[in-house]
Amino acid sequence: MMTTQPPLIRLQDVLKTYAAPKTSLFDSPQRFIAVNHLDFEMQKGEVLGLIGESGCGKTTTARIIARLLKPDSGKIFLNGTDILPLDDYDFRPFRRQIQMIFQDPQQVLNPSLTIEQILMEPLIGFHILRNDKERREFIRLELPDVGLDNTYLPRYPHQLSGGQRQRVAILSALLVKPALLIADEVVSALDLSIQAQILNLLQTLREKHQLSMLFISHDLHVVSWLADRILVMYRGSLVEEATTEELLRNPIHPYTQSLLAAADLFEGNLPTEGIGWGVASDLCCPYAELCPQSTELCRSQRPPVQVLANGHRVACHCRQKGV
Amino acid sequence: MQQNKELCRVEHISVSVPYVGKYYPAVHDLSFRMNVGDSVGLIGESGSGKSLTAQAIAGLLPEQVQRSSGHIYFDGIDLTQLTEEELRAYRGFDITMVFQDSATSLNPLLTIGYQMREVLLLHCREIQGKAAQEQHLIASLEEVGLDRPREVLQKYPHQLSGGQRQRVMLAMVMLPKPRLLLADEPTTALDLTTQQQILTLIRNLQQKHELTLLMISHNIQVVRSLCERTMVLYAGQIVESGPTNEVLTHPMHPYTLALLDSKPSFQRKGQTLEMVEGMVPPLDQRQVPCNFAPRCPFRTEVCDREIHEFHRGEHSVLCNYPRSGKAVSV
Ligand SMILES: Nc1ncnc2c1ncn2[C@@H]1O[C@H](COP(=O)(O)OP(=O)(O)OP(=O)(O)O)[C@@H](O)[C@H]1O
Ligand SMILES: Nc1ncnc2c1ncn2[C@@H]1O[C@H](COP(=O)(O)OP(=O)(O)OP(=O)(O)O)[C@@H](O)[C@H]1O
Ligand SMILES: [Mg+2]
Ligand SMILES: [Mg+2]
Repeated sequence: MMTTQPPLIRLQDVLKTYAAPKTSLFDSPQRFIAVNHLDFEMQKGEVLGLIGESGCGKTTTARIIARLLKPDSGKIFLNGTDILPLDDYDFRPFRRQIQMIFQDPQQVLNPSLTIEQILMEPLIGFHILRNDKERREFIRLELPDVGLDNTYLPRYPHQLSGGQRQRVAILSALLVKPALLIADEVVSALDLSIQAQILNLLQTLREKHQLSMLFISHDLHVVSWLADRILVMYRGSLVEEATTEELLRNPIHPYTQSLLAAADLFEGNLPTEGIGWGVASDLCCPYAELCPQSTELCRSQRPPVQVLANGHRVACHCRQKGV
Repeated sequence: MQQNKELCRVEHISVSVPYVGKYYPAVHDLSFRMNVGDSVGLIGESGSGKSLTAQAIAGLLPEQVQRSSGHIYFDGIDLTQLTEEELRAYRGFDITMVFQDSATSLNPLLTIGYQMREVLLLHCREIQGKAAQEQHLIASLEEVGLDRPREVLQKYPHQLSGGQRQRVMLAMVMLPKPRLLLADEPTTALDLTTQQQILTLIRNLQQKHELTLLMISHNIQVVRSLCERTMVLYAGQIVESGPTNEVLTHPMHPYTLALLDSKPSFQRKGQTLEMVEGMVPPLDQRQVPCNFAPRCPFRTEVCDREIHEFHRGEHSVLCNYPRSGKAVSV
C-alpha cells in the first residue's frame, strides 16, 4: 500500500475497573476488572463483530468508545487523533462520527417527546439540512427503511411495541450518517423478518457509504452473516480475533471453540459452564478455570496476544507451545 | 403430571389502543387455551400484539390501553370479572410475567437484594427467618447462572450487564413458584450457553411444579426447544397455530413461511436476506377479513371478501390458500 491511512478507530491498552461490592465487613475493597487491557482496531468500512458471554465487558467497551464512560487507562484513536484527552468542546467535531444504539432502547428514548421530536433532535443538534421542513421530509423518507411509516411520528415511545422502539433508536442513530456505528444487540429484539430488513439496510449502508460498525450480538448466525472480522472477549480480555471465515473454520482458543460448538449444538445437552464474572486478573489466563487444556502456566501467567498469519490474533498459552 | 387439565383459557379477547385520539384494536378476537404444564410459544412480527396479549392475561395492561371484550379464565375463574383487589391474589403469585424491557421493570434506586426480599416477603411467606431467606435468594440467583450471587444482591440495576439484569428478572418471577409464567422475550440479551441454562431451568420447573408457560420469543430455536405448541400472531390475530414442529417445519400461512425464510447465516453471507415486502398495516388501516392480504403473494379477490380456517390435525391456519407446507430448515 502506498499511503497508510490510520485506522478509523484504534484502542490501545484500554483498562476499566469498577469497585466490587464488599460481601463481608472485613473484605478489603477490591476492583473488578470489566475491560482488561484491550487492544484492537477497525478500518473504515469494516464491520467488527464483538461476541462473548453475558457480562464479559462488551457494553462497557462500546460505551468507552462512544465516550460515555472513561477508562482507567489506555488510549483511543479516531482517525489517528487521540480522543480521550479532548474536552467536550474539542471533541465536538468528532461527535457526529460515532453513534451508538443501546441494548435497552427504552432507556434512551425521551418519554416526554413524540417519535418525530426524538428523530428531529439529532438532525437539529448537528445542523443537518437547512431547516425543519427539510428535516421533517427527510425523516418521512427514511422511516420505511426500518419498517415504520409516518403514522408513528405523533406517538410517544411508551405507545410503541418493543421492536418498534428499537427501530426508532436505530433510525435516530443512522439519520446523522455516522462513520462508526456501535450497535449493541440491536436486532435481538426483532422478529426474523424485521431483523432481515434491518440487516439488509446495514449491509447496504456499509457498501454505499462505507459505514463501519462495531456489532455486538449473542447471535452467531447474525454476526457471521454481517461481520468481516470477529473479536471474542472473555472476562474483559481479548481471547481471539480473526476474519469471520477464519474464526469459524479455524478457531484456536478453547473458549472460542466451545462458543462455536454451543451455537451448533443448541438442542443437545450442553454442559452448563460456570458463567459470569469471576475476578479477571493479570496473574492467570481468564479461561484457566474452565479450560480443558489448562496447565500450571495458564494458572500463573496471563497469556500474551499473539499475531498469527492473516492477522489472526489469539491469547492462549497452549498455542504458544504448539499444542 | 395431570394431563389435559385446563389452567388458562382466553376467549375472544380484544385489546384496544389509543392512536391520534381514537381507539383501535391491536389484538383482535383472540382465543386459545393452555393446560396445566403446557408450554406455548407466541411468535410474530414486531407490533403484532404479542406483548399486549401477555399483559392482558396478567392484568397488567398499560394505562390508556383497554381490554374491550372477552374473558380470561384461570383455574375456572373469570379474571375479567374480578376487582383489582381480588386480582392481586393471583398477580405476582400464581401468575407472573417477565417484561420485554427487563431494565425498566427493576427499580433503579433500590438494590437487587432489596427488591428480591420484597417479593419474598409478599409472596413467599413460608420462608421464615433472615438466614433462610438469604439462602433462598442466593440459590435462586445461582439457578439462573449468576456467579457471585452475594455481590449481585448488593448491586443496583445499572451496575449489571444487560444479560445479568435479565437473569435477575427471571430469578425474581420464579421466586413465588408461579403456576403460569408469561415470559416476554426473556432471553434476548443472553448468550447461547446462558440461554440453554435458562431453558433447562424452565423445563425443570415445568416438571417439578407443573409450571405452565406462555413464551414470547423471536428466537425460533428457543421456541422450538421449549414449546410444544406455537401460535403465530399477525396484526393482532392468530393466523396459524399447532404443534411446534408442524408449524415451524411445515408452515401453512404465507406469513409464517416468509418469517422462517429470513434467517441470516454464515452460509448466506453477502446475500440479501429474504423479507416480507411491505409492512404490518397501521392500526387505523387494518382490514378484515385478512390483514396480510396487502403483502401476500397469493392473494386473490376472494381474500378481500372472506377468509377460511383450514385444519390439518391439530395444525390450523387462517388463510384461503394455505401452503402445502414446504419443509423449512431453521
Ligand atoms: N456501573 C457498574 N458498576 C459495577 N460493575 C459494573 C458496572 N457496569 C457494569 N459492571 C460489570 O461489568 C461487567 C461487564 O458488563 P458489560 O455490561 O460490559 O457486559 P456485557 O458483555 O455487555 O454483557 P451482556 O451481554 O449481558 O450485556 C459485568 O460483570 C457487570 O456486572
Ligand atoms: N400503550 C400503548 N398505547 C398505544 N399503542 C400501543 C401501546 N402499546 C402498544 N401499542 C401498539 O399496539 C400494537 C401491538 O403492540 P405490542 O407491544 O403488543 O407488540 P409486540 O407484538 O409485542 O411487538 P414487539 O415484537 O415489537 O415487541 C403496536 O402497534 C403498538 O404500537
Ligand atoms: Mg451488554
Ligand atoms: Mg413486545
